[in-house]
Amino acid sequence: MNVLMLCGSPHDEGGNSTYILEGLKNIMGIETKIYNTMNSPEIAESMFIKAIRNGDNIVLSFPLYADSLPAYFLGFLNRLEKAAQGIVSQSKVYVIVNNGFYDAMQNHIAIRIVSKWCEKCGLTIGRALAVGAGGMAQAAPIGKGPLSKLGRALEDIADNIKNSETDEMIYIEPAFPRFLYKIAGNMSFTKQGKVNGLKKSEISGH
Amino acid sequence: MKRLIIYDMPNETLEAKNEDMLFSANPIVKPCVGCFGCWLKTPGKCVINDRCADIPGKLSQCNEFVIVSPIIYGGYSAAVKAVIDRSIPYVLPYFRIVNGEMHHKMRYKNTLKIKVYFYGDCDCEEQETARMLVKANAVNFGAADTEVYFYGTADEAKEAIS
Repeated sequence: MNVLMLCGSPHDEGGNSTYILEGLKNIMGIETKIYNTMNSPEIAESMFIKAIRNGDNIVLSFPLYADSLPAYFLGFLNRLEKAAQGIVSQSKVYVIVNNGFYDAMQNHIAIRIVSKWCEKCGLTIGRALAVGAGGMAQAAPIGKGPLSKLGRALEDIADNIKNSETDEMIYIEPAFPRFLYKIAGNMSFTKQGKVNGLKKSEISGH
Repeated sequence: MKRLIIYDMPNETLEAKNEDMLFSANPIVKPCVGCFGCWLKTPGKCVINDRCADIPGKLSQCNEFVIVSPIIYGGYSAAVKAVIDRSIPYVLPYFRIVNGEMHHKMRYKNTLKIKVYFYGDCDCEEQETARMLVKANAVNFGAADTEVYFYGTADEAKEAIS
């Protein structure tokens, strides 16, 4: 069975949404290309149409932007909805959302939005995975240390995809305390600002 | 009451009243590319220098943030969302905990009221999603209060805000 992987982040390789899809690809042991919907929307659209005609399962991975989908990705899904009209499909859609804040729960609104998109496309949502603390998504190899839960979640979802199963939503956060994530995040902002020649007061100014 | 009104009504034009600042979401602005430049290179200002670049500054000068948008899957249209995504320099990169959840610290001292006027066909589920979305946005923008309305047509939404 073919699986179509679409990335809805403006970041291509090196971005968390792509990194998580790479991890899923490795766990599934499949050779498939990850299509970035912002860098190559036309190809991604034609691959989507091909996938739903074939009944192939689809994985969407994107970052949470302001409690929802990145604007470009949302517009892209609008286009896909129009293109999907009239096609009867057995494809299931699996959704992976990651957010920069620690709390994975904050992704639930974006998941509701994608679920409604699926419904309008006549597609079934298979399973959704919400990944909190996206800033740590590449802190270790997937499945190791703080990312052990992410590894297990991706293994579960990989099985679901292979068997075209629907299953309940998964919310995961790294095996790393939130207060430390907050401190580390805040330090890294100050450090990055310094690299750009800014003092902390300047980062916080206006 | 100073309002910033972001609107996506392709066939309508709005007239500013009193101190209203108007911003049409059409034609769609360039999307946020997640570069963090507005936080860590040119704090408070998006590095994409277009008509959307001073939206965060305008937000800091108003006390009501009004959004008029078609309802799409229970959220904003892509055109409105593009403006909202580009508004994140209104807040700081730094994290804080609000209501037991992680959010950003505020850059400005003003407090907003967010009023959203959705229009177009939608079901109860979409209305519920929309209410959740506006509430969540309010926490992220440090807003004190929200109001969410639903209308059948853009015309009705236009009438409601004027």
